[in-house]
Order: sequence, then structure tokens, then C-alpha cells
Amino acid sequence: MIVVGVDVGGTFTDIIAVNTRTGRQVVHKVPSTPNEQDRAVIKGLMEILKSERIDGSEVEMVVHGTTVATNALIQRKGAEVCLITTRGLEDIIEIGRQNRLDIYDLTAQRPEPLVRRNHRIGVRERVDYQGNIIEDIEETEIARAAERIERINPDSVAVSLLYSFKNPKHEQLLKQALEKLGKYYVVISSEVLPEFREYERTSTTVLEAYLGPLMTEYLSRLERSVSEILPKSKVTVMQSNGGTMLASKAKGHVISLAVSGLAGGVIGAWTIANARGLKNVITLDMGGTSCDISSIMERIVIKPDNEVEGQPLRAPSIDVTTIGAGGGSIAWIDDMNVLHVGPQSAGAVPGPASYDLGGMDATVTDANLIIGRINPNYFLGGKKRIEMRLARKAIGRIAEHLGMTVEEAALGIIRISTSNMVEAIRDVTIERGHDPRDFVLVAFGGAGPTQAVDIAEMLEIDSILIPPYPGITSAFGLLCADLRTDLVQTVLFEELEDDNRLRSVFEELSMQAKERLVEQGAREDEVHFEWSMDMRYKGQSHELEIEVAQDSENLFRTTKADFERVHESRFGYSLPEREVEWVSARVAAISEQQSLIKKPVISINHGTPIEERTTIIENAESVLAQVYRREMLGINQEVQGPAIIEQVDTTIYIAKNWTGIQQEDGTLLLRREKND
Amino acid sequence: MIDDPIRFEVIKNSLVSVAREMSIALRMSAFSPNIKERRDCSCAVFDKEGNLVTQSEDIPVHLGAMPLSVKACIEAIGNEMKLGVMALLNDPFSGGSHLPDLTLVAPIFNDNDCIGYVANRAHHADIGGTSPGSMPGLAVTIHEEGVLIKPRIVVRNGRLVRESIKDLMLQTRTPDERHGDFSAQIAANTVGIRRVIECAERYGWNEIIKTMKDLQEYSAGRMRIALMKYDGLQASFEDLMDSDGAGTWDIPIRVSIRFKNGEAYLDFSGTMQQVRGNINCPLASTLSAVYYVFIALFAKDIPVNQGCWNRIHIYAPEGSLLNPHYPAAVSAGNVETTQRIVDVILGALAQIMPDSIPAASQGTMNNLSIGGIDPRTQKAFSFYETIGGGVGASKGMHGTSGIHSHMTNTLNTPIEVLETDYPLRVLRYSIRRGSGGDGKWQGGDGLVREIQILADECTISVQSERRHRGPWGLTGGGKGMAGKNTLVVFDTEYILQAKSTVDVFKDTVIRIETPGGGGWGKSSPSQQI
Repeated sequence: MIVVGVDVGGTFTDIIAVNTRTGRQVVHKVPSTPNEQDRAVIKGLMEILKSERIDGSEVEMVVHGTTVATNALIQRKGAEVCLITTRGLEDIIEIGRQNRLDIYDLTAQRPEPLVRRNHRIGVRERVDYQGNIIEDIEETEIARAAERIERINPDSVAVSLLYSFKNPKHEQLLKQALEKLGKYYVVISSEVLPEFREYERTSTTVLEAYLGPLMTEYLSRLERSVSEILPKSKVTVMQSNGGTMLASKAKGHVISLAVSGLAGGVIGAWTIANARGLKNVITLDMGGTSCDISSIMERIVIKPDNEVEGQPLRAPSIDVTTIGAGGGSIAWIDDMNVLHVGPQSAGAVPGPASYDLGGMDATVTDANLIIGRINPNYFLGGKKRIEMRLARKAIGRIAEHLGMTVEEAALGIIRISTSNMVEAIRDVTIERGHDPRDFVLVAFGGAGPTQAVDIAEMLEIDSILIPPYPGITSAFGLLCADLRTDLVQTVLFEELEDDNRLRSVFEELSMQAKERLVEQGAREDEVHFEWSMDMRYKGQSHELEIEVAQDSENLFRTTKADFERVHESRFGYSLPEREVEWVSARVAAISEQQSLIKKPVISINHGTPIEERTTIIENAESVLAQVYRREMLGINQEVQGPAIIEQVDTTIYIAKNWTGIQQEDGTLLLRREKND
Repeated sequence: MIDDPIRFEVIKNSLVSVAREMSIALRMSAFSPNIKERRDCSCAVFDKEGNLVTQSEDIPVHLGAMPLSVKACIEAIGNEMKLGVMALLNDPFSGGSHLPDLTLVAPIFNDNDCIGYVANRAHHADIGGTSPGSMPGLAVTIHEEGVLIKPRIVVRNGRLVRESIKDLMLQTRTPDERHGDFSAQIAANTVGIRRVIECAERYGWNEIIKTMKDLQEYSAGRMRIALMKYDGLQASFEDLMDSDGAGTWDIPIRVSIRFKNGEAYLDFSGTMQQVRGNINCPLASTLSAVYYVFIALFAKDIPVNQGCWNRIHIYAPEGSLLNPHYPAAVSAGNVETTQRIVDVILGALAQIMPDSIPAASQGTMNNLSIGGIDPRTQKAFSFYETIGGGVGASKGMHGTSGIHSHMTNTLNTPIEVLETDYPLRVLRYSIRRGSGGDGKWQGGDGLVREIQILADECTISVQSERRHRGPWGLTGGGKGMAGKNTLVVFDTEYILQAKSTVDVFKDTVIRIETPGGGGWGKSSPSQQI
């Protein structure tokens, strides 16, 4: 059978098709169509079918990574939403946490709320902190709210009442009444996110209502078009949590697709690394405008919350840090003559100065060109010509300011851009108590392999892994994702009580999650579960997530011991005499995707360099580097630095003291020589 | 002198993330809602003279004031600041701001040499004094406001020495919570020291020490360039505080500002003498208010450290409201008077740079403390929070509604946390519609927060401002609506003064309506329909 991954990026839509029987992989790129992403998807699919002579009916699955939801938030193109809240608390969605993003902002701005003031409706009702109903919601109150909604006639309705995670009855009554109207996308907070903290829960519920109509419409349109060319194919979508979901089942769960586009790269890189037995990996996906970084130890970390365009989103998401560092990042000098790089980017248009599209700013790509890493005649495999002259002119201006040579300035730009990425990597390793020297760096994306060695040097990392097709790793990752559902329930258990109570919460959640996966085609006996518990000392309010062993004889006892241990290692102290709280139970149900890693066909003949090129290294010293083409490397071929390996989708730079070794599985391993 | 601008940038980034990591460790492991939920805390790194090097961007009123605390520690007990030791202080007459803000200072050692300090400041919800929350509305001396702590060693070998804070633990109403919060403060400094040492292992101690110095020179240089643009200009402004809670009303704060040779001179002569009530503002807090405005206006992308401040010269007459003598009551000075200092500086600068200055924002933090016995546990509780309001409009921009402005940026307490932790119920939390000042650009609206008391007997303290005069508008914009504090007892409403402490019974409701921001520019007739 054939499975297809389609990843939509800012510039290109990448497609990879894999024959699961033979392991044959083919890839294709088409320009993205940001306003109707499905157009490029369909166009790309049709082209790859034609050029690779694939019969559409052989394709059994399409996995899609999309930025439709993220873009709708950035451009504010979501649904018209009405919000129903407990009376007196209608404005919580606007007030948020009452803080501003920048403390030195005299005019204290924050993003506009997604629900306008006159679209917020308060209802008389009240549930207390234990879930007791203090004031019933009257029939007349429900009718009044429904009437007002019909008058406003929005696209969707979000309902978020106080303490509904403790007692959802009132929200359910409202939902029944509103669904009878039959016109609106209705969501209630006790179903979207049964978790405490009213603002975060309300914001997440509103996001579901805001994105729901648009996403379900997009996905059903895509499904229809796909079924015309691939009649037997299922269509699944990548979720923020790194699992896939059937496109037709997205209704009510679209917030789980909010950052769909970020997960593919992490999964792709991890799958490739893990297949080689690597356990500690830093993934670095550096493209034109940004760089996505994730650190992985043994398994991909799924964090419970996220933030998109200033809107808090409590939906499990793969832990990825995005910073404004890419090939297009702009170098600039402040009024004290200090050099900075980014976060502003020249983007695809006008792009780096050397693109000759009118851009005047010096960028990281221009710097890489000047120091000889990038080949002006083989950019994107020679499809795009770039101009050394314009790069020299742009970086010349920076050099003049700093009283340096052009080469020194170019090296400086790369060093600062590297240090920006190094800081982000430190944030996800050292800040969490891990030593980056224990990790392997997996570098991909169009710009990642060009700077990977500099990053590794600064962090004293001694191995780097470059995937076979660095530019298409995200699309590949889509095909490696498992079917996955995450559920959470706030319990707020306080002391060691009957262990069965805790166990039954987990079992109930596991049942629900399994049902969802089976609905999507998973086989019941192939579903497995991961349990975890958010815990804290009574009185704290930030929880630590503690893994829960399902076979433990006493869940309370083992989780408590684990919590104390984790707290000690995280904060340097534990307080054994304090009471502990079991806050929220989390269950992930997973049905694993079969492995698609098959050995690609790699020549046993060792290729020879196509040329020698002068590259500039530290202290503006010139050295001659051997230049190779990636496809010409044979199994176990060793390439001594300084060397450059060119391929259509990226350029790999190997510094002095580093060796690149072409692996049997198609990856390239870079190793640093030990100094001693 | 920066000799390698690139290495400089790299080490600077590392030192900035030290402060940020400290701040995360502090609030993630803290116990009181005021720190863990509202993030009323800040962290910073200092050189060995106690000059600020880098800071976490948390609470403006903390950040400008912390260096004086570190310097006070060095001066008082510098010889005791050994490896593994941390010192605690809150003395408002020597580097502190108000008593609830406890600052914990720890030296960083390379072998036997102290090369700098890390410190963090957290607002503790109760440190004794005459009313729960240690922010009594009507105090007239510092001793009614809680325990005064001069610099003293409280941590040895990284562990809290309980004996050393016995006086505080006896007086606070919530010793368990204090102990938890101290653990978090110690954890934050430990993280900070560890991270600086890692940084030194990478780049060498000499580079770290040099960067600490270079960074300050760098910021000072850029600040000079920024201020130079206004050379030769000057202006003055005066505004009034409502009251001190002890019989004095309409209290003037006056400033004259002069720019000369890339330096700024602020003279607060003409400000009232220190008063009997609690709005006296310790010098450290006065400085942080001034620094806040200058950073916001002139140093948007300049790293904030001592270097920025070396260009700013401040004269606050001794014994005045802005530089009071012991034993003045000060608890509202730090939170309320600082907001008015910001207003008068902005008022003066509006004459020099009219297009860049917003109209007055709410000008208060609306401090609310509630304490008593929780009927569910029979234990004492002490709740403290501040409430956002309207922001002043500026040219081309309406003011934001219901948000914290200027000297604070604390979060609200989630209602679902508040009602779980305290015997209180929130009946209303909404935008106070129409309270922002009119104008071409309208001021932001304030907030309304109504809390019902579910305990039998409680003490409520309010410290607030702009209850008599609304925040001013600019260039023809209208005033924001003044704030209002109301007690509702069996359907009867009683207006509370701006500074109040009252005992109340179960089911009483306290309603705080916060001021709207001032408007900017005359509104056109079509807008008034």
C-alpha cells in the first residue's frame, strides 16, 4: 500500500509518498497557497501521482499537517462567537489575567479578545468549589440565553460556567437547548477542558468555537477533493500532541489541531534518530524565518498547554520552542555599534540581499554565501541563482560600521545567529537540568545543516545526525505518527484515600480514550495507554507531571514518592511533612503506527569531490574545503572536514576536526574528533 | 570597553536567562497565591558592589528598588556573606520598599572571591502587623505594619535556619505558607548561583566579571545617546494624592525635570513633607518609579541595569513623602505613591514630548486584603490582591481596559483558586463600562470586583487612590472616572474611604470599582452620539 504525508509550510507544501511494502520513497514540493491550503495539497498530489506513475486507488492514507488553524488566529479569520458564562463573570475572556505582556509598555496593550463585549451572555446559576449547586439554572434563564443567541445569530457558541469541571450539569442543559436550535457549533468547557482556572478554560473553549466551523469546513472540503483522486484513501490530520486524528472526526476537537504544523518535524527527526538507537536528541528545524527546537529524552515530551498569538490554549502539545532565527534573519547594528541578528526576517520576499529581489538587508544566508559555505550556482539544486556581489554589498555596510573586513562581519553574523539558537537549546536542556553534551543534534530544514557544526561546537555536542532529505523531514514525520488521544480530568484529591478511587478515574478516562481511537479505525487490542498525574504540595499552584505506572499496587503511595523525588531534583528541595495534592489525571491512548523506516538504496561506491572551494573559518582564516554531492556518497564513506556536502534541499557544512560518515540507513553522521 | 562585541552578546544572553530561570523556579515552587498565581516577585543578578547587571522582567516596583537592598546587605553584614549563606531584609529605611516585600540576597563565590550576588524579592501575604495582609489602611508607624527586618543571615549551607526568623514566624498569621514561600525563594537563588557558575565554567570568571562591567557601560552609553535628543529642555508638574488615611488630604507631589549633556535631573522639591499615614514612599521605591518611566520611554531595547540609571540624577528631599525617616508608616507608599510619581513625571514629560506620552492611567493598585478564620479549617487565613483598571489613551491608541499599568503587573487570582483556598465568593468581576475618559482616543475602562465574605468575622483593608479625582486626560481628552470602594451589608451600601480597615460579618460584600484611564485629544461631535 501507499501512504502519503503532506506538510504545509510557509513557502512550500512538501509531499512524500511511501510504498510500505517496498520501502520506496518519493518526494515532491509545490509552492504553498496560504489562503486555501487545500489547493496546493491537491495540486501536489495530482502531480506526484502523474510523475511517479502511481495509481490513485493504491493510496490508502493521507496524513496532513496544516497551519490553517494557526493562520486563522494570526489573521483573525475565525468564527463569530457568542460566549455564555456565569452571570457577573462575562468579561473574564477580556480581562484575562489582568497583566500586560511587556512591563515597560506605558500603554499596556493585549490582544483583542475573540468574543466581542455584546456577544457575552451571563446566566443566573452558581456551582461552588466542591461542585454543589448553590443556585439552579432556571428553564426561563436557558430560554432567555437561547433567544439572545438567535437574535445575534453567530456561527458558534462557547459555554463556560464556573466550576463546571466539578459539576457539568448546567453546561449540559445549555448545550441541549442550543443544539435544538440546530444552527450553531456549540461547545461546553466541561467537555473541551474539564480543568480548573476559569480564564484558561474559557479561552480554550472559545478557541474551539472560534476555529471549529472553519476547520471542519476546510477538512471536509479537503476530504471530498482527496476522495476524487484517491478513492480508497483515509484522510488523517496531525494534532498538536503529535498523534493523528481522522479528519472526519475533528468536530468538537479542533483545538487539538492548533499547531498541527509543528509536530511533523519533531516526530520525523525523532523517528529517524530512534531507529538508530539514539535516546537523547535535540531536534533543530531551521528554515527561512524561524527555527523550531525540541529536546527529547527517551520519548517526545507532550506539554499540557500552549499559547498561540497571545491566546492561552490548554491543549496537549509537542514541546517545541520556536525562535526568530532562520536563513533570512536580518543583521543590524545598534547605536553603540553592537551587532544583532534577528528576530526580524527578510522572509521569502524580498529575501536575503543575494536573492536579488530588492532586499537590501544583510542576512544569515548572505553571510553563509560570503564565507563559502553556500554555492551560488547550486542553491535549490541550481533552480535559484543567488548573487555574491549583492551579499558582499549588504554585509560590507555592516563591516564598515564595525571596522572589520566583510569576511569578519559575515563570521560574526553567523556566530550571533548561532548563539541565538544555542540560547534556545540551553533553555530546553540546561534550564531543565539536562546537559546538552549528552545529546545528539538532529539538524534539518533548509538552513539547519549549514550551521549545525557551529551550534554543536558552542554546546560541546560531539555528534550530529542529518536526515536523508533534511528539507522534507516534516512531511516524513507525518507518516511516522501514531493515532493518539489525550484526555484530562481535574480531581483535586487531597490525602491518601482509597486507591480504587484514583484507579477508577484513570480507567474511566482510558475507556473513553480507547473508544475514540477505535472510532478512528484503531484495533482495540493495539491500543495502549500512558497515565500521568499533575501533582503539587497542598498550597502550591504549579503542578509537576508525574508518570503513573499502571501496574503499581498502590497508586497514591508510588506517585507521592515519585513527586517528592522530582520536586527535589527540579527545585532543590522537598517537604516530606507537607500534604500533597493529586490535581489532574491525564491519559494518553495510543495506537502505534507501523515502522516506515526501510533501508533506502545507497551506493557502495564512494563518490569523489566535485570541486575544492575556499571557505573562511575562525579568525578570518581561509581553508580549502572539499565539495561533495550528497547523492554521490557511498555506504560508510568518510568525509573529513573541512568539507561541504551539497544537496538539492540544503547544504551541509563539515568543519575542521569533524568527520561525516554516510550511513547505511541514508543518514549522515557528523562526529567531532576528540581533542585529547 | 567591549573588545569582543560578539562574545559580549553571548555572555549577556546567558546572564539574562539566569534571572529569568530564577523567576520561574520561584513562582513554580511558591505556596502563597500572591506569589504562585499573581507572580508578585522578581529576580536579578548584581555585581560585587551591588549594582544591577540583569533582571527578570516581572514587577517594575521591585526591580528598581532591589539594588539598594543588596547594597544595604553589603554595608551591614558584608563580612558575614560567606559561601552558602543568604541574607534577608525588608527595612524600608535602608534599601527596602514596604515590609511585605522580603528580599533574599545570596553571594556568588569563585573559590574565596565574591564576584557578585543574586537576589529575589517576593511579596509575602502576611508578615504580622495590626491587620491581616500586613497592609493596614490606617497605620501611623512602621511597627503597625509588621516585622521590620534589618539585613540578617537566614540561610547557611543552603538551608533555612529556622531560629533566625523566629520573630517573623511568631507574628505572621500564616507561618506554614511563609515557610513554603521561603523554600521557594531559597530555591530561586540556588538556581541562580548554579547557573552563573556554569556560565563561568564555560567562559571563565574573568570574562563574566568583565561582562558585568561592560554591560553597564554599554547601557550607560546608549542611555546617554537617547537622552541627548532632549538636551536643554525642562518642565515641571504637580499632582495630588487623595489622602494618607490619617487625616491629611490632597497631598502634593511635585517634580522638575531637566535634560543636560545626555543626563536627566529630577528634583522633587515642593513635594509634601512625610505624613502621619501610610503613603510615605521609601527612597528605593521612589527611585524605581523614576527608573520605570525612563526605561519605558528612553531605553526600550537597552538592557536594563545600573548603567541606565547612572545617567539619571534624583533629588528627593530628606524627610519628605518620597524619602521618609523612621518610623514612618510606608505600606501604601510602595504600591500607591509610586503610581502618582509616575503620573507627575509623565505629566511633566508630556510638555516636552507630547506625542509620546499617554494620559494618566488608573494611578492606583487597589490593594485589597481580607483576613479572618476560615470556618472550613478553623485556621487563620490572609488574602491579598491588587486589581487592574483603565489605561490612559495616547495619540493614535485607545487605552486598554481592566489591566495593570505602570508600577505593577501582578496577575489576578483565578476565581476557582480563590474560592477553593479562602472562605470567599466572587459575585462579579467585570469591565466597568463607560469609566474611561472621553476623547478622540478614549481611556480604558476600569474593573468591578465584588467579593462576598463567607467567614463569620473578617477584617478588610483597602489601600487605594484616585477615589476623589479621576485620572487626567491630555490635549483636551476627558478625565477617567474616579474609583469607588463600597461595602454592601444587607442591601445597604456604605462608601469606604480610599484607605480603610473595617471588621465585617458573614455575607458582607466588598465591591471595588477601579478608575478608568484619561482620554487623549478632543472627541469629535460624531463620537459623542
